Amino acid sequence: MNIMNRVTMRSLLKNRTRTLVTVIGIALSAALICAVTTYISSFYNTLTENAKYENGDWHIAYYYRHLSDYDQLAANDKIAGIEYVQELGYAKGETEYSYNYVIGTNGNFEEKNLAIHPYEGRYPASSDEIMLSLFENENYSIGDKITLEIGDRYYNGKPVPNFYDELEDNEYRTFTKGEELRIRETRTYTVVGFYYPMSVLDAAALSSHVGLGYPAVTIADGEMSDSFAYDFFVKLKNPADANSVFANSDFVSLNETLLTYMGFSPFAVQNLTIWGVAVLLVGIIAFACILLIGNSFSISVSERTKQFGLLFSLGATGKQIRRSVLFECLVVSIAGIPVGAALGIGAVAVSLQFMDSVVSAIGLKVPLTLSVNIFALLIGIAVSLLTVLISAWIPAKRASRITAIEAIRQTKDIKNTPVKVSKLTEKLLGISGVLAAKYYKRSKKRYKSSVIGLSLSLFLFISIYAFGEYFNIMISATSDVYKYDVSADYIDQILGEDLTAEALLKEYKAADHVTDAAMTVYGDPVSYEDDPGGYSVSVIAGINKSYVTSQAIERGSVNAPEDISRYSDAETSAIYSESPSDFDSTDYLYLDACIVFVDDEAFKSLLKQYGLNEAEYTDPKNPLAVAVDGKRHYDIHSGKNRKTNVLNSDKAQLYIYRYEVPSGMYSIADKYDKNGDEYVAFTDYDLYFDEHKQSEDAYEIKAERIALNIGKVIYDAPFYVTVNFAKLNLIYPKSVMGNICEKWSDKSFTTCYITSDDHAATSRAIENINNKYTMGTDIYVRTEDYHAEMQSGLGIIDTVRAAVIIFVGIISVIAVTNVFNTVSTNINLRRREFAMLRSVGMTNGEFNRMMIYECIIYWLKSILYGIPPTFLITFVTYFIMYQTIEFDFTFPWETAAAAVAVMCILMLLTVFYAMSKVKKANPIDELKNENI
Amino acid sequence: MEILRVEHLSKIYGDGENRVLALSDVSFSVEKGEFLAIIGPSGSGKSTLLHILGGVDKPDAGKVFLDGSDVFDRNDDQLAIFRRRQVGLIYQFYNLIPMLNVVENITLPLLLDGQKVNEAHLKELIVTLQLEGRENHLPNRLSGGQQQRVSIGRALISAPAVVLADEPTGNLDSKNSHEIVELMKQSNRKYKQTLIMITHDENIASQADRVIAIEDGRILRDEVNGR
Ligand SMILES: Nc1ncnc2c1ncn2[C@@H]1O[C@H](COP(=O)(O)OP(=O)(O)OP(=O)(O)O)[C@@H](O)[C@H]1O
Ligand SMILES: [Mg+2]
Repeated sequence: MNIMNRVTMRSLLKNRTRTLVTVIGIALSAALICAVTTYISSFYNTLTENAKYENGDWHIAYYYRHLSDYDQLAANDKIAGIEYVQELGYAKGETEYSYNYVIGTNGNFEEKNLAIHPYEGRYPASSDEIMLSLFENENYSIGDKITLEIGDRYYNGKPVPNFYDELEDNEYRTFTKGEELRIRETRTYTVVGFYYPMSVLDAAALSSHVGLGYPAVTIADGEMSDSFAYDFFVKLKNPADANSVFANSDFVSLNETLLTYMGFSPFAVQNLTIWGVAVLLVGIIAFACILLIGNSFSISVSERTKQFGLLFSLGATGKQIRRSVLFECLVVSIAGIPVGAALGIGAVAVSLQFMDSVVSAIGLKVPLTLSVNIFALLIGIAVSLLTVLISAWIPAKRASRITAIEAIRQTKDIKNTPVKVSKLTEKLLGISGVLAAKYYKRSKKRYKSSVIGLSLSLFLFISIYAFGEYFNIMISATSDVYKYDVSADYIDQILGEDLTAEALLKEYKAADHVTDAAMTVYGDPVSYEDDPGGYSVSVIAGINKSYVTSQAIERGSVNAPEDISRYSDAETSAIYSESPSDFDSTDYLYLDACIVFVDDEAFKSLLKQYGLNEAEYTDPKNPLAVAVDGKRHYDIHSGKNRKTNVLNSDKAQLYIYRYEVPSGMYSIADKYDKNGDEYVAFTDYDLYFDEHKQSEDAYEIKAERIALNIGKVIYDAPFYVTVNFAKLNLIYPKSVMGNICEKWSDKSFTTCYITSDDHAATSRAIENINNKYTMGTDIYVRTEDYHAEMQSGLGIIDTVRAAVIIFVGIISVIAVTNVFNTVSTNINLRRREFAMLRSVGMTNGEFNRMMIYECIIYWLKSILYGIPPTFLITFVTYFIMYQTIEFDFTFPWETAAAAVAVMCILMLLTVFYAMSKVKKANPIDELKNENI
Repeated sequence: MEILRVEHLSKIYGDGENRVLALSDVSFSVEKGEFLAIIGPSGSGKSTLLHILGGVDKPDAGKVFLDGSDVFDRNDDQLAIFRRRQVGLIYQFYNLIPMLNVVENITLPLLLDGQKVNEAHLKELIVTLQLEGRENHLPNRLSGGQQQRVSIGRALISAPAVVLADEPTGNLDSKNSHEIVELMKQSNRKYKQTLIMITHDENIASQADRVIAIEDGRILRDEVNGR
């Protein structure tokens, strides 16, 4: 080892803590980068395996060929291997219009080159055995003999073309009336297995046959003969040749999916996207790491400035200095990168265990498995190394530019700027404060990197946290997330003398693992429509324009009367001959509203949650409703997931309409007049079904208007208000139901929503309760485990959350390491100065105060420089996401505050840790040790 | 034979209010093997001059010729090689590398130059410097005098044409400082090395062949000791 490297090595060992921190930082960045590349290589590998599973592990397929073609292919030296499939022909299936298409493979199932996978049983071993599709062969089971009359399809005396390129549209893909099967031969097979067919089109992965029925797989007859057609599935020595080999033939197809994932497709757009995301992610990580590690190196270099100066004056060249910095970075890289790479791969391996939901969500047939691609790993390591090199290069370059004597004297680091220390500082903090202030101001340049490092920590942590939050919002907004786990619904018939709805709910609440439960009854007017002679209540509520936001009008959440879909029938609307302009002037708009009656207990806890006056909301005469606004919907025009508020204030009034359905009459249309009154048109049953007559014979009834008053608008739906069509949900306590509309309580359809911490157990428990009451009756209570149902949806959210948490976690560790590194190095650099201060009689108390004061200056500066860019980048992120999904801008203030607080504590802890070491040392030794 | 020539050297530090004229139009020349003492009050520019002669600082104007070639007419690397081969610098504060032991500190210029260390020569030097038994000590375990002897060893190891010493005895007691000056004079005579030494010590100055007195960055006096 040359002398420069020896010096470097020793100073690394001497500053063990700092070296360790740097190594940890490098290990973490390497872990992050390698995790990304390994994730992608694993993902790719899985996609490739999946493509092999679904389409087969071959590159080019030659359909409907003959023996001579085989010889030709076999002579091609670009081809590594050929699987062949003998096309035996069609045989009638279970029904008149279904077929089995008999094919004979060459029996090489071991390598799984063809996409056939036994679902039950095994592969055929001889040409007497057959494996059938699981579908359309229900009458057979393993061991059965099956006799197939095999032949060709003919239509109008001509053979039906087989190869899919010859089929125009879907012609002949299905059974055509009048087609016939001309039998060529009869064969008998033993059924040895069933395979699970992927899709009809995938059959192209097995033979030229597409569309009608499924292949029945046997083993080809001994020798290839000229009397049959064959399909050849070819594997190339080098898949990159696929296009050139493919180009000069007809009736061939490329295994495009597989080639794409292997990276050999000309249309590898997907590859581009995946790699694009990867490059972006790695880029961001690398950038963050360069800043952080770079900071650590720059501190290390400035610590060694004097040493460099000395070496300069003794004749070291700039090159030698730079080399020694590079050597340092190599040493820490060798210590950090392998550990980090292993860590990253380990993290990927662990997290892949929890990715089943991702697999099922994207429809993969094979499990996600870890695949450490050497190439990807090397890229990861190279990027990590490059990151460290860039981090080290910048300060090294700077170090080699200054003159020797400048370095020895460190004149560049300390500026004699005039420092005005405020009288207040002096009074409050005495000499400690004055020294601290001067120190900060005069060594601005030297410690700029410290402040930058600290700000960066804040910036990275908060902005990535915010990004994660936005991501969560985005995912939960785009997928219907139910807030309950189990539901049970029933019609009131279950209830009787000895069982009230409340008692049943109570029983539910006491069931295993239940955390909360509520019972709702929808004021569902539609169910009355088929009850002639009864009441009916409109679905659509009227609302005065003055209560509605302009946003809701613009986005069509509310409608002008003439827009309402019930006018869609031109003939019924014809009875209202008034021109639409009549409605233009109306102050009344109509909107889909849903009235939810919830059990009183749940309602009371809702009131409590929002601090509302119970008396006003439960007053039987005029109860106020709690409205749930801010409905999310996908807007087709803008392609945006939007959140629209309908009401512009807490106080609003809605109307619903009730009318009596005259006996024997059928309502055919509703009409609203300017004042928000509703008229309903009726017609006679007989007339209704007699086309063209109802117009003349219809008559109308004015509906009774029921006013609903809203007292409070909330935007976060309680768990029992679930996803529905309505633009606005009104919540009332169940006890006021009859006051709003008599008859509603008669035959209500009740749904109980239950939240649980173990949905499966709860679901079973609820079912048991229901069985107890329904046993021996014909009443049915439907119990649904929603949690299980939306598992796959939740799985993705959980996975993304976990990824974000891991990412934020790693960034936090990097940030913490950085803070520690920055502060402790800062103190180490000043040991001599501290020794001097103590030798001139500064007390420990004064010392601590000075350090705390300095800490605060650094802390405030970091906030000052760290928060505004964080805010900016967060807003930009928000703005970009807002383009596809509407949500309110939130800055994670609490997290930011917590981060800032944690950073302060961390800084103080580091200061006192470093200071305790300084204090232990003998000041004279420190003073003598001029090389610090 | 002239080994060193200084022509119209000027050095300015800082600007505006902080502007200091550390050297102003300094010219002189030194013969090979000469022992030159530089004296002058504190802040007069002595160290500045020495650093420029040693090629560790750059002048704002003027030229320095060593062995006939212009010191600052070299690029950074050439200058570094010049420093490591032609001059030996001894600082008032010893400026040793804390991570390296006595032997490594002494041989540093050779190691930087990729040269082999002549063990016999090193041994002789260590004996002369009275550092036997301390070869493997780190600087923080040495006394001030010992540290200064190490830095002298470092200046002499590459047998430079010129040795530049900035108050080498400034921090030492009279016994130690006597020994050190003797050591340097010995080397000066033995290897016909040119020795330029800054000192505040009248006694040391009187032992030199020639004394240059500096004040406010100008040469006040330049006289040969009549001995
Ligand atoms: N880096 C610098 N920036 C500004 N002024 C400087 C710098 N270095 C030296 N000076 C000034 O230049 C002048 C000469 O300094 P120099 O160190 O050469 O003095 P000196 O003669 O060696 O003094 P001493 O005997 O006290 O060591 C002094 O006035 C000093 O203040
Ligand atoms: Mg001086």
